[in-house]
Amino acid sequence: MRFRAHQDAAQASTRRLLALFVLVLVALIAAVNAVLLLAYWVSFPLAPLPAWFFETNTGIVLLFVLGGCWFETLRLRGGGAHVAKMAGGRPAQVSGWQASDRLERRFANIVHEMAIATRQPSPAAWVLPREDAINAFAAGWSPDDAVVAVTRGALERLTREELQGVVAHEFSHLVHGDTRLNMRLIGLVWGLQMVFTFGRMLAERDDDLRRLPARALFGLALMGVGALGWAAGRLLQAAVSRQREFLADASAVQYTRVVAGIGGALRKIADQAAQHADRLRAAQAGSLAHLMLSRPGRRAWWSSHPSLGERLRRLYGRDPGPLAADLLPAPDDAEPLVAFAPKAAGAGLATHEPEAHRHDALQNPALYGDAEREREALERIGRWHGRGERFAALLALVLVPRDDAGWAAWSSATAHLPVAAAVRAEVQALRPSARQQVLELLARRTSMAPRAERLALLHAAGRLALDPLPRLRLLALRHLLARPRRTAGRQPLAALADDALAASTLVAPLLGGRDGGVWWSRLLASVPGQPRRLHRVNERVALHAVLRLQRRLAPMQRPLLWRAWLDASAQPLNPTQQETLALAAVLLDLPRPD
Amino acid sequence: MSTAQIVALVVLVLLAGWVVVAYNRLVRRRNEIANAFAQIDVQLKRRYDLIPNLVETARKYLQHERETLEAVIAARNTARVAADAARAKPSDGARIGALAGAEAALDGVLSRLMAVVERYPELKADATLRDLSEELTHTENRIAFARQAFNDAVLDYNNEAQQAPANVVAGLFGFRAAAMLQATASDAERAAPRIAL
Repeated sequence: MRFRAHQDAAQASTRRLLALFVLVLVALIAAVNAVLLLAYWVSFPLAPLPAWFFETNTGIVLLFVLGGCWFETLRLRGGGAHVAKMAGGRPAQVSGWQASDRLERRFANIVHEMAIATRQPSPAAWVLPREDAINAFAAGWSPDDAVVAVTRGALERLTREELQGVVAHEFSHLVHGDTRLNMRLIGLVWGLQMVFTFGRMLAERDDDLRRLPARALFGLALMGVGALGWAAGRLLQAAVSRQREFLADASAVQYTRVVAGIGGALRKIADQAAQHADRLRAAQAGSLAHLMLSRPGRRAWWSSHPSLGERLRRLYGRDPGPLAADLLPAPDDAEPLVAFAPKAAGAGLATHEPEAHRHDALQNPALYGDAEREREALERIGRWHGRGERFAALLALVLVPRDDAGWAAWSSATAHLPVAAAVRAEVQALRPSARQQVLELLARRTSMAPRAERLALLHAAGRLALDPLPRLRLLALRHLLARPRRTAGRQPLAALADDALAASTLVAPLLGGRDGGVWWSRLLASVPGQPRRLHRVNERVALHAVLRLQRRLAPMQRPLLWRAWLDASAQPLNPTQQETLALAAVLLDLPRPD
Repeated sequence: MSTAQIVALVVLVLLAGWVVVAYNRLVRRRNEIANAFAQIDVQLKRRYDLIPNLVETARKYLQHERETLEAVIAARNTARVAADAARAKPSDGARIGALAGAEAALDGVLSRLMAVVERYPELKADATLRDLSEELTHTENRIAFARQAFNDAVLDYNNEAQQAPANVVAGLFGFRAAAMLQATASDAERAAPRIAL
C-alpha cells in the first residue's frame, strides 16, 4: 500500500469537504434571510422592514449552530476516560488475576510502542471487558486525557501484530485530532437541525390552539430551509468521517509498516459481521458508534464508516475476504493445564515438582489461606477454554450450592464430565466478590459457543435454579449468552413504568428482605408514571417485562431504574443485595457498579 | 514618510516575521530529532537491563548450553560499553558505527538463544520466560519504533529545511540535512534470520 499517497488523498478530501461545510453554512444563512424576507412580504405587504431584520436572522442562525457545537463539546469535556467509562470500560489491568492478564499487559505494551512510533504522549489503555465483538475507539480532547480502548474480544481474537494495527489506527485519530473534528461537526449538524426544530415550533398551533397565518408561514419557511441544511450537513459530516477512517487506516500502515496488522483485524471483523457477532452490548454503545473502529450495520452514504470491503480494497489493492476470528490460544497456554490433564496417580507431577504441587487445588488446600487459594483458583479459571469446564463452572456459579444436597444435584447434572471434581474445587475456592466476575468471564466465552451447548447449559440451570437469587443469576446468564441485539431504546422510564415495576418483582424479595412493604413504597415513590396493574405479576410476566425493558428503555434512563432499586434498599447493603444489584446492572447493560 | 517608504517598511517587517517563524519551526524540528535519538538510547538501555534476567531464567534449564548463554552476556556487555561511549559523544561517527556493530552482534546471539529455547519445551513453558519473552518483544518493538520515529522526525525536518522558500532560512542559519538511520548495519546482519518466539 502506498500509504503516503492515501494519506494525502484523504487529507485533501477532508479539506474539500470542510470547505463545502462552510459553504453550506453560508448558503443556509442566505436562504434563511431570503425565505424570511419573502414570508414577511407575503404577510405584511407594503410594510417597511423592521430594523435589524437581516442581522437578527443571521444572529439567531449562528446562535443555534455554534450553540450546538458548544453543547456537543461539553460531552467530551470529561476527557477520554469519561467516554470510555460510559461505554462500560475500565483501565487495562497490567497485574491481576484474569486470564486476560497477559493479554492486557500486552495491550498496554502495544500502546506504549505506538506512542513511541507516533512521538505522542502515551494515552491511557482501557478495556471494554464485556464485549466479545472486535472493536476499539480512541477518545479525548487533548493528548493528556486521551484514552485508547479495545474490547476483550479484540484482545482474545487478534494476534499481536493485528492488535498493533488496531491501536495504530486509533492513534491516527488522536494524532490528527479526529475526535475533536468529529464532535465539532456533529455539533454543527445538531445546530442545523435546531433551525428546523425552531421552524416546526413556530408552525405548530400556539397555546390557544389557534394558528396564526404569518407565524405558520415563517415556521414552514424555516422548516424547509433547516431540513435542507440539516440533510446537507449530515451527508457532509458522514463523508468527512469516512475520509478520516481511510486516513487512519493508511496511517496505521505508516506507524507499523505492516499491512497485515490493521488489514488482518478488519478481515476478522468482516468475519464476525458475517456471523452477526459484531454488535456491542453496552447501552451507550449506540451514541459512541461513530468513534468506533468499525460500525456494525448497513452501509449507506450517510454512514460514518466506509464499508469493510472498501477499506480492505484500499489496504490490499483487492478484497482478500474475511479471516476466521477464532479465539486464539492464550499466550500462556503452551502447556496442558496440570489441574485438568487426565491424571493417573501422580503422573505429570514428576517433571516439575514444586510448581505442580502448588498449582493443584486438590493437593493440599489446608496449607494456604483463603485469599491465596482464591488467587490461584482464579489464575487457573482464567485459562479455561474447554466446554466441559465452562458448563460445570457456570452451573455451579448459578446455583452456588451451600450444602451437600445442592452439590449432589449439581454432581448429577455434571456426571458426564470428567473435569467436574476439579471445577468444584476451584469454584469452592472463590469468595462471593469474585464469583460474579468469573460468571461474566465464562459467560462471555460461552456466548460464542454453538447454540446447542448454550441451550443445554440454560436448560440444566433452569431445572435446578429454583430460589430467587439463583433464578436472577440464571436470567443474567441468559442475557450474557444471547447475541447482543440492536436496541431501539428511545422510550423514557415513565412510558415503561408497568414493565419497570413488573421487573422489580424479580429483585424485590432479594432487595427488600423482611421489609418488603417499605421497599415497595419507596420504589413506587421514585418511579415516574402511573402504573396500572401490580397484582397478578407472575414470573413469566416479569421476564417479559425485563426483555421489553432491555429492548426499549433509552440508555440514559437505565441508570434511573437501577438507582431507584438501590435507593429503595436499606443501607448498608448486605452481600445478597450487593449481588442482586450487580446482576441487575448486567441485565440493564450498565457498567459494573463500584 | 512617503507611501513608498511605508510600504517598504511593512514588507520588511512581514519578511522579518516570516524569517523568525520559519527559523523557529526548523529549530523545533531539529530538537525533535534529538529527542527521538534519546528515545532510541532509552530503549537500548531497557534491553540491556532485560537480558541478564532472561539469561538467569534460561540458565536453570540450559545446563548444556553454557556457551550460548555466555555469548549473550558478552555481547550484551560489549554493546553496553559501546552505547556508553556513543552517548558521551553522539556526533562521533566511528562510535555510532561501533555501537551499530555491537547491536548487530547482540541481535545475532539473541536469536541463537531463542532458537535454543525452542528446543526445550519445559523452558518454553516457564512462566517467567513467557513474561520475559513478551517483555523482549515489547522492547525490540520499542527500539524499532523509536528508530522509525527518528527517521520520521528526520524526514519532517529535511522536508522543512529543503523546501522553498524555507530553504533560504535554512541555508542562512546553517541547518544541514540530517541523516536517517539505516535499518541494518551490515550485510551479515541483513542475512541473520529472525526467530519469533
